[in-house]
Amino acid sequence: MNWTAEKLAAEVSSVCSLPTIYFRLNELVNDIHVSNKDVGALISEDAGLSVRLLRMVNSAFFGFPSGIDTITRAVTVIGTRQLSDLVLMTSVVDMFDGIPNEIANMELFWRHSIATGVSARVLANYHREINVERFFVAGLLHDIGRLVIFQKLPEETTEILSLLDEKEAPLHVAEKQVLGFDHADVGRAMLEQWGLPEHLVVAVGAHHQPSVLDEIDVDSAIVHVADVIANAMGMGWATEVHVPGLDEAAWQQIGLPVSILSPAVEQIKRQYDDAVELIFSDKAVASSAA
Amino acid sequence: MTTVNLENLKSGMILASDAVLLNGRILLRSGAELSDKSIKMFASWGLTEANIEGISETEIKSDAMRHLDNELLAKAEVAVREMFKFTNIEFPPITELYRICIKEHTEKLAGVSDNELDS
Repeated sequence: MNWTAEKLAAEVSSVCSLPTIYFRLNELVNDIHVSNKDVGALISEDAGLSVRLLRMVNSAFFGFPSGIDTITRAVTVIGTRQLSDLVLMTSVVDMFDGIPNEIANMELFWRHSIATGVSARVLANYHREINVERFFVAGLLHDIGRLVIFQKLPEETTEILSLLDEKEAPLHVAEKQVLGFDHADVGRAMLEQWGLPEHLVVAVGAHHQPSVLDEIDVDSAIVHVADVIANAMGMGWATEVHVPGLDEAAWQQIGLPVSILSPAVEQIKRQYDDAVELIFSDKAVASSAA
Repeated sequence: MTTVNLENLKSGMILASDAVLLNGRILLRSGAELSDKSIKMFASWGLTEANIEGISETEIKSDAMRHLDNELLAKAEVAVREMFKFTNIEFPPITELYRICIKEHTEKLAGVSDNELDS
């Protein structure tokens, strides 16, 4: 069969979908007539989700004021938009969990995704973005297309990995050579089919080279640079994995001085440990509830 | 004049230009002499660099790498160069990441934790 990124994504997005509560929440968030109380009431309908959200907002990673003990209070303190990004995060955790470990080393995959999310969050902070969790989620999702390729095309994956072993090309170039598209194309197609917000779709699709976009948006630029940093710090993957090229236009678009990299890396290293702990314990809570 | 990262600023250095935050606020004027107190203030305001009078870039770099063992440094450099082979090492942010990466690798090889270095 001749695969395209869209066909491949459709195979997966039809069997594995986002929970309806995420979309209902998004509708509420975008409606100016809706109060915090309404949002809290919707989330509280799902007891399992409420427990996970409360654990998250009280974790060291998010660093919100402590003692957020009810969903209503969480909505007030954190804001509806950020909370809906956290809900998306729990869904991503569940989704990744469905993939057996034989297919991919899921722990390493997770760690790289978390490192990219944390890096994106720290960069967004330096860039004075108000909602930094949006960037965290985008970083978490950026390589999701790789999972789809791993799962659906095992033979081609072997071929891609042997190309890598000869050290001829970065991963996405090897994928293009074998498949005609890469994991960023699959990721974009998948998020699009799921109906996720445009900024996420674009950032995931362009994460290797944002300058292919007509106009580079901040989300794409930050996720791209975050991926480069996560790889350079060897977070997640073994050290022999190569650092992808940095898109010069994307770096310029963010407009931060080179000197932020050193303090940013220190911050990323600290937050990374907290985020890994948070997400791995959230996985445990989610699977024990299921 | 050389741009020096916060971690390499020392008291006694002279500012070659105003120390300005990203939002335009000026913390210290050009010509001022840095003290431990002003460096602490820079850190707490989130300033990441300052332009310093009469110091060369190589001086800063060699100073920052001084505590690292040469043999380990060479070993780390081989590994890191391989990691960075698909990147444009001349592009300033990559040059900086490359430097940070070599420093981290060398410290890892030496088995020294960050905490021990700080003290």
